[in-house]
Amino acid sequence: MTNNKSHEPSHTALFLILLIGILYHTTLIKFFEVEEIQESKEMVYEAEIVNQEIVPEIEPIVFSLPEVDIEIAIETALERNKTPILKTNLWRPDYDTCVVANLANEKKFSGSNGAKQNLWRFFEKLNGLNSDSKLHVFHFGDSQIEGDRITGRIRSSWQKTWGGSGPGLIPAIQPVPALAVRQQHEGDIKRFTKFGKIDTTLEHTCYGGMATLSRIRNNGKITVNPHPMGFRKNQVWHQAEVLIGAAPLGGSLTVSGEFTDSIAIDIAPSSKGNHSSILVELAGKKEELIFSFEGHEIEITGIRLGSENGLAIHNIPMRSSSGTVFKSLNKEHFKKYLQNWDVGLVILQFGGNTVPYVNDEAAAKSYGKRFRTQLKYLKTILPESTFLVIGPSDMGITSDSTALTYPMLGAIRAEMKKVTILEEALYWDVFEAMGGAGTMAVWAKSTPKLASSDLVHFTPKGAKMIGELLDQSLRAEYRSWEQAIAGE
Amino acid sequence: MSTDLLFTRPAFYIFLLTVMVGLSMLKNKAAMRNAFLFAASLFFYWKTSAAFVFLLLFSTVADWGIAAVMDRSENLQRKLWLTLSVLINLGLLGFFKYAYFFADSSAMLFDSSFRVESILLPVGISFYTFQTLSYSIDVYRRKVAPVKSFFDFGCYVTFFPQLVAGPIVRAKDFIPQLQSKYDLSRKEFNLGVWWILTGLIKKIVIADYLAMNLVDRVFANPLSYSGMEVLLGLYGYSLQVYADFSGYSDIAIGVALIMGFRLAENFRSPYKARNVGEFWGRWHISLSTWLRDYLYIPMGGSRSSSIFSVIFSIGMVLFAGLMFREGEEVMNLGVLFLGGGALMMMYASGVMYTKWGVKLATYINILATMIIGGLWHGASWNFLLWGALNGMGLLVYKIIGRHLPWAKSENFLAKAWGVILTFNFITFTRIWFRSGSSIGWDTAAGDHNILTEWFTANDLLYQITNHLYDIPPLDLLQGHLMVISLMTVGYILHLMPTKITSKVINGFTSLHITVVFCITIIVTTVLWKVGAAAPAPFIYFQF
Repeated sequence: MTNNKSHEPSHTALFLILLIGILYHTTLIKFFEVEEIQESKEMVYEAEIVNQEIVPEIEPIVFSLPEVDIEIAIETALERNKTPILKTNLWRPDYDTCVVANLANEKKFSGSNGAKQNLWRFFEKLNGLNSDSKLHVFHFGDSQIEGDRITGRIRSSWQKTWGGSGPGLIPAIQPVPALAVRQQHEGDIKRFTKFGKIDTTLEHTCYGGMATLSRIRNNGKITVNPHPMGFRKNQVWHQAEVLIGAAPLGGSLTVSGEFTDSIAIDIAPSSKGNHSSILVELAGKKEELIFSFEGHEIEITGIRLGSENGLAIHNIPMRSSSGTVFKSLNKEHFKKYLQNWDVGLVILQFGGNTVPYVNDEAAAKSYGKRFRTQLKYLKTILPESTFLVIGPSDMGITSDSTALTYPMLGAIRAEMKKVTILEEALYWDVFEAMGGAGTMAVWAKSTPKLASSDLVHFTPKGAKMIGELLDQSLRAEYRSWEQAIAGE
Repeated sequence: MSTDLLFTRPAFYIFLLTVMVGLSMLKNKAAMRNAFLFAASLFFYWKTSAAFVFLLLFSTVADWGIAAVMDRSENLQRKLWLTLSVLINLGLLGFFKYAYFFADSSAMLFDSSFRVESILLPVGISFYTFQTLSYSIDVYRRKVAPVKSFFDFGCYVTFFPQLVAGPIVRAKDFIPQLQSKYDLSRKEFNLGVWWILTGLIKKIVIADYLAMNLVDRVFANPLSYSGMEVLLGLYGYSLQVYADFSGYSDIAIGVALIMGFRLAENFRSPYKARNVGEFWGRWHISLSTWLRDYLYIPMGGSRSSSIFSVIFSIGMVLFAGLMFREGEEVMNLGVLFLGGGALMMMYASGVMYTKWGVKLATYINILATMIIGGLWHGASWNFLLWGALNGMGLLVYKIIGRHLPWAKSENFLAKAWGVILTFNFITFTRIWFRSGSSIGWDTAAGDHNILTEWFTANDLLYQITNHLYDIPPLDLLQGHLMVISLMTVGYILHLMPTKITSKVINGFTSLHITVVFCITIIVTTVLWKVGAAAPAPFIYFQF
């Protein structure tokens, strides 16, 4: 048997030499890796093209999309991530005195003068908050904000400054539990959404502002608890507001808590398209709340947990959505839902879900158009509100064992920025703010990990950092506005 | 740590080529060959752990010197030398691996603010300290003669294929190989290539893919996934950790073999085990047997209790007293009295009824061994709990399971029942194992937040118990089709009858070397194409 003959080390050496040689020539393996994070040339090309396409008649507050060089992009990303992007502490004076003039360009908001005026209107509302008034902020987004990520950080910070408490709106059934509250449900309760996989058995589109509703048949119980690891401000609730859609035969709601006495309330019969709310005053302590429903059929379009005044900041994640869902919701119902409250600011954080499917510039433009239609529509529903669009973050894709930023990411961001400015809304480029191309791959390898290994989503720590960056940018605008009005 | 010399990186094979060139020149000069291998291994460790190479050298010199002196000593002096060796080895391990744990735990239990900052964990310290410890104990027990040549001993301790993550090699198995000439058949060379290729496939195709596309995501943020996805993540992790660690061991064994050294198998299809005891006889065999020979048996094993068993049981009662204290109490006196009373009754009954006493001692020794085995993996309450759960699993089988009528039946259904039950139990305990292991050597040491680890485990359980069906099964299947398919293939291959796998291996090893070469080219090219961008570290590098 030939295989029983002796095998010398030199044979092994020869085996390895041939193997390495062939692999080197056929697959171009880099035998000593220096750094594999690269940005594709297409992305650079797109970024440059878009830079030239900027609509000239708009006077932006800041409108810089710096020319990107691959090596510089990588170096910048690595350099930025050697030290945390945000070393500043929220409560240190240098943070709170930061103004737009000394804010890094990539962290600034972009927009027209009209958009700037809108933002100032929001600041006026913020300053005008008193013990009788409440202002709402809606943070709509894709899976990047699921679990109260990013929103939770902003809410905690803003409520400390401008008052208010509680997590804001939560759905009756929470499939992706948030850091804000822990939820459980019992009984015959079914969830319907207008994003992701749509259940066509629902015979209407009156989903409300969360684009999701839960239908209770006969009886159902929803238990909510403050999350032990959540932000402190999220854990105390002074009010609960249950938002009801259709309830054909009416029903009843009982709210009870560890410190709140049990309260029973009738739910008036209503047909589809109805929007009503039941407000319950709570003990204002950290407690478990139980909402028990009884009735033939009751649709719950949300539960607001919060305070009677101050800021209510709502986290509304729509998994797999690219922000084009709003027009498909029943307009009258949607309007009633949102106009019921004083909505100061609407944040739209989308774009990420469209990135893997956009292969050319035309597709990016098409998405931009569709997004613009939605933005325009939302502005007609909430004409007094300020709109802030947050584009997609850096997103990595692995190709031939190399991490690349998605080629068309630049084009999509540029389209979103363009239509946002045209619609007199503000644009915040999280891609640039976080460090630009290649950052997601660097964050996925950093300690602690700031991005997950899919190179798309942030880890909770990464999301917190993004929340802090956004907070810093908005506060810089706020301080600048304060200085401007003081100077007048 | 540099990642250039990871088994999955091309640079490692250039390093291996250099070593093979050296070996081909020195193959018949054992002393020089060993010195060369020692130097190559130190270079390898320097490239992976930089200055910690001096720690490795210190440990090597100390144990070599102590063993030499110990061999010439008798009685008390001999014992003292052994004690010194144990203190040095456990001291190093304790300092680098457990300082955080004890500081954090004492801070939590006694509300103190004492913290230990920034101690980096030297890669492979748990493996090579256990290896040198076993050598000192074997020399003390006169089971092996001390190694005369420092280079031979150095080569044994630092042998690069198994230096950073085992298998833990015993001196009696390895030293004789160092003293003999290079001898390898073509069939054995092919077998070495087989081990390396299968190890790479396990690591790159299965472990890294599952980690990136399911497991890491679920464990990083369990609350974002339904209970079913969390369960899928857990079963995925069971396959991932097996493919990762056994993949590493396979490559280590293969590399050692083509260099002419034979290392013992470290895994034997562990998920085919019918009970927890059998599982530990198939999983990380070199550690299980080490713990058996140097911990369980010295503690009394299944024969009697020893002073260690008594200390351990008293320690457990004190620990329970600390954990259940309330308010300003130093300890919960109720728990202390109850536990102490129960302990005294147990020992008293053991003295009165000898047979029961032996059983009791066995149970305590098993539990202690498993808890210490858990803590070997890392400084975390989760590892402690994981070890304890496995210990309980062993006891339940010992007390009840093995007496059940189907326990030893050769009937297929009886076997399948045992396998399924054991696999699910092991997978369930990994909730704590994975939550307490922080992947990567860079995060293994330091910044251990025991509370976060608990919360991760709790969040996983919470999702399983409260949000199991949040995503319909069909959606789950569609959403994770690739992962589920890969897991199915992985488990089928794992459960393949040994007869079939032996045939395949035999077929491969009988191939002509040119065919083996062509297969190697194809497999490595495919692996390079499907491999992840960043070199994913082997999970066990952190232990």
